[in-house]
Amino acid sequence: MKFETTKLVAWSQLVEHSLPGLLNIIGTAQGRCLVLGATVLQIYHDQGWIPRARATGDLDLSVGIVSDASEYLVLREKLIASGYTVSDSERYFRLFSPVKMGLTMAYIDLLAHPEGKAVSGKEARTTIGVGDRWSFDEILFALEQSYALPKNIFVPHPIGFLAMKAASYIDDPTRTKDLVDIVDVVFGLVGGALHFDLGDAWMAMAGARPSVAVKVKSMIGGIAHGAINWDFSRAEQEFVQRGYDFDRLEDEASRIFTDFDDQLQLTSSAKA
Amino acid sequence: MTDPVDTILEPLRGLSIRRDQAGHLLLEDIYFERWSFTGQRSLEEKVRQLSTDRIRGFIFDKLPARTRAWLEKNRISYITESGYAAIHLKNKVISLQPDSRTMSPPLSEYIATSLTSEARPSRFINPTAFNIFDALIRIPSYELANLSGLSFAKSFGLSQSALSKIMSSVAARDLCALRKVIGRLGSSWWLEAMLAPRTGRGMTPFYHLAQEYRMHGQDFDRKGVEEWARHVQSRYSESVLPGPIEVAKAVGAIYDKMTTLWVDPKAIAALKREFKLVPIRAGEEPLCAIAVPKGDFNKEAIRSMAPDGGAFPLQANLLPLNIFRVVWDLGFGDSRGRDARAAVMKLVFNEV
Repeated sequence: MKFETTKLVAWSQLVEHSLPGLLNIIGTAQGRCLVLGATVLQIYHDQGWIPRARATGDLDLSVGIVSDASEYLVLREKLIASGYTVSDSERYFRLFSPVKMGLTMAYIDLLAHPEGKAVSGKEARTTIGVGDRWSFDEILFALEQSYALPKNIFVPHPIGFLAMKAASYIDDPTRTKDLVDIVDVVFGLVGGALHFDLGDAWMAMAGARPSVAVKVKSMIGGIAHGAINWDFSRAEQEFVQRGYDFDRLEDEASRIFTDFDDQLQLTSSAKA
Repeated sequence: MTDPVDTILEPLRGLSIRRDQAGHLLLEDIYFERWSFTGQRSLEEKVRQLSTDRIRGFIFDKLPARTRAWLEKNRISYITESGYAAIHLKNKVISLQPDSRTMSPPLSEYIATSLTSEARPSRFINPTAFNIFDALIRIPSYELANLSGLSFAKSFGLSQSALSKIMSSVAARDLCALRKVIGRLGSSWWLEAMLAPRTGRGMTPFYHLAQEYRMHGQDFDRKGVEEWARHVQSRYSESVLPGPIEVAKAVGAIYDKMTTLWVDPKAIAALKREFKLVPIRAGEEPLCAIAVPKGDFNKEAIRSMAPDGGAFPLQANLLPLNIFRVVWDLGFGDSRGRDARAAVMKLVFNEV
């Protein structure tokens, strides 16, 4: 499963065009900056890993804080100095682009995560103004085996992306887009026979953060076996909007997630 | 010198027919003694004196029709050396006529009735029994005649206790007799019994397990599918067997481009990875349908315990399949599969 940065030229140009100066400013961060959200689906689509992306009006990024919270504040100030604006008092992390154009990214959600032992989770949460339930485990899991782009940007490995989406959906099951994103990625990987190449990355990630790996396995198994907490019916509208035949979906998901699970299991068994 | 009674009882070989050390005949639970007929009055006197500790019958050299009628009216079993017989079994009377190779009612009907009412099809339609039957029909009669139940079970890794119960339930004296029972039951009994309630425990039908796959980035024509299937079976010789539909194809009962495979649970993930097999979605053409049994091939009676035996007119790669299991599986398929069962069952009857 090869990640080709050359396939991201158009995406980089779009970011530069709609969010001017962002990449250069992020490039000065001490910690790694991880791309989150629907943008990841666009990148996977550009790689040819999934058949479609979904439209989004923002770019979600999480900046690694290595020493203390001032690192995040410096980046934020640099963006504001470049013309980015804050208009949502409840979302301290949201910064609107100085460029106002349709069909482009209108704002950034600039989040942060602790990277290294010098910074606690509480400090990181306080810095970006989120509550105690905000978890960094999945972000740190997703940074394992992530793909490095120029300017200090990192794209999560698909298993890491699944971990983040699963955690988000469990935290708030009304976020049905997260559930459909999970299905999009797994169907795409299996349909393209890419799940056969996930084994080494999975073992490395599971070895580094076993507690998150257990949750990922639980999610995959839950969907494969139709567990009630992964029931598709609450996301029916979202599935239909993305072109799924809902009558066939549960059967297809059961088979496809089972095959996905089999390959992770095979690697685990082989290495054991 | 052969006892003429043995010849007369030839059509009843599916029943338990034994002789004690004194040479007295014991047919099922009826103890026969010879009686020289000198008149009906003396016979009636003999009958009155019979103890009730065992069911008795009589063997006569000859017997007037009037006395035969009297015996039948009084439900007393008899055999005459001239070829008449009336055997009063539980809830059934078997009658034999001279110079007749058939009997009324037919033995298969009696056995079928016995199986359904007493021995139950569940004793015959399960993986343990399928392993026994499949091995039984593959071993030549002359070899079978020299094998005891114990040595047969040991030689082929079969359950001796199950074999013993099956033989008792059809009153088969030996392995050859049991093999004949398989044939005498008839195709319709087997096909009905395989679909009877409370049968098939320990087996999951191929059709219930099968998932359809395509090979990522590859399309195959019919010949290509066949070549690929042969390659997979050769590459994974211990872990892959043809699916039951392949036998139906071989006997000309089904035409299908897609191939079917049984794959051992331990090998499935590696096989899918090696050949980049991915589940099909709507509108995609499958290369194969793969079923992964819950147990291993032998426990589920998918693979024959005597794969080198038999003379089935099939390709070599199909010979390791348990033929009873194949027929059973086809019963759970679409109408083509169900129609194919009789054609495949013929392979069994050609052997017995």
